[in-house]
Amino acid sequence: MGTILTIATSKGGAGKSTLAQCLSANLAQLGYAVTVIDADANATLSDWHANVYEGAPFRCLAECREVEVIDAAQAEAEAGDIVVIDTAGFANLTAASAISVADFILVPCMPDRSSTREAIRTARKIESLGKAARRALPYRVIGTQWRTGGLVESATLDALKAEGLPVMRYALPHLSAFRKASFTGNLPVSGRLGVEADRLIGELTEIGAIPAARVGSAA
Amino acid sequence: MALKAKKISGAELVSQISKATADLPATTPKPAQAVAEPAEPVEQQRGRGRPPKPQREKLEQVNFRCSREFCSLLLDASRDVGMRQFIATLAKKAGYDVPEFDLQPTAKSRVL
Repeated sequence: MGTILTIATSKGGAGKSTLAQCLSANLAQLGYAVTVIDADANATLSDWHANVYEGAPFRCLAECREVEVIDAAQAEAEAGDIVVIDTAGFANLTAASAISVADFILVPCMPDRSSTREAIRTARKIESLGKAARRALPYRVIGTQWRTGGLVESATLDALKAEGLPVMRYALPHLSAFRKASFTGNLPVSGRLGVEADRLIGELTEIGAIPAARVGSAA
Repeated sequence: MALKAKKISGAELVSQISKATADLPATTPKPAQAVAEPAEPVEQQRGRGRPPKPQREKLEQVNFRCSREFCSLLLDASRDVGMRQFIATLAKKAGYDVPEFDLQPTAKSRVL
């Protein structure tokens, strides 16, 4: 059975869909059988996948109902290697379901105060959902639109660490390539973006969020 | 990672976590309510009376292709100071006349 990776934060525009796009395209390029479930009613990611995306193929479903998203994730995980669930940018029932069914949760956080605040709130929600579901829900906060070494980034890290939140070593860099890809559909899997994505996937594999071996058939 | 939980259906899991989700709305939001118009126009006298901004140095964009390993090396080596300052410092050490503007880009630096 594959791994279910949920991307969630109650902050809108924090980079959830961008992170889902980047991870899915790069994992598909590496040969993983990837399914993305777009659980956001805005359907940004599924629309991009259907109409714009050019790259290694991966499956993409749109499902924003709180019960059905769980069943869809479990069914997709039976057949593939990784199911990535992209949630809506506000605290909602479907995001709670997607968190509860996940093997690992990534909480994107931009370097600003409101993103940090929402990342902390989301982390607390994950912990309470873990208690309700009676199982550990491992998660990490991941920086998005990140400029390593920046003052605001340092302040963000300080605030997250002060709350005891686990933070990924690598972040999603602040690159115009992501915005370009929203129109061209061509997410670079080489160059700086490719190297950064490799590092991110390496870290996720290291901490067990992504299986090291591909168990499913090619997508 | 913890052992995976026994597989349960979506309906069962939603029911199980219902205490923790009692305060949450559904994903599909209600239609937005009309927002009252502000009493006064938002347009303010922004920027009026301020001194003119200083002229910025004209900058050029430099791109180049290299191996993945060298790209990784450059990212690591320039992580603290930034790619521009890193290359400027190397050029200076090699004896080139490097503009101070590129050696010390403090005006826009976000580095601690």
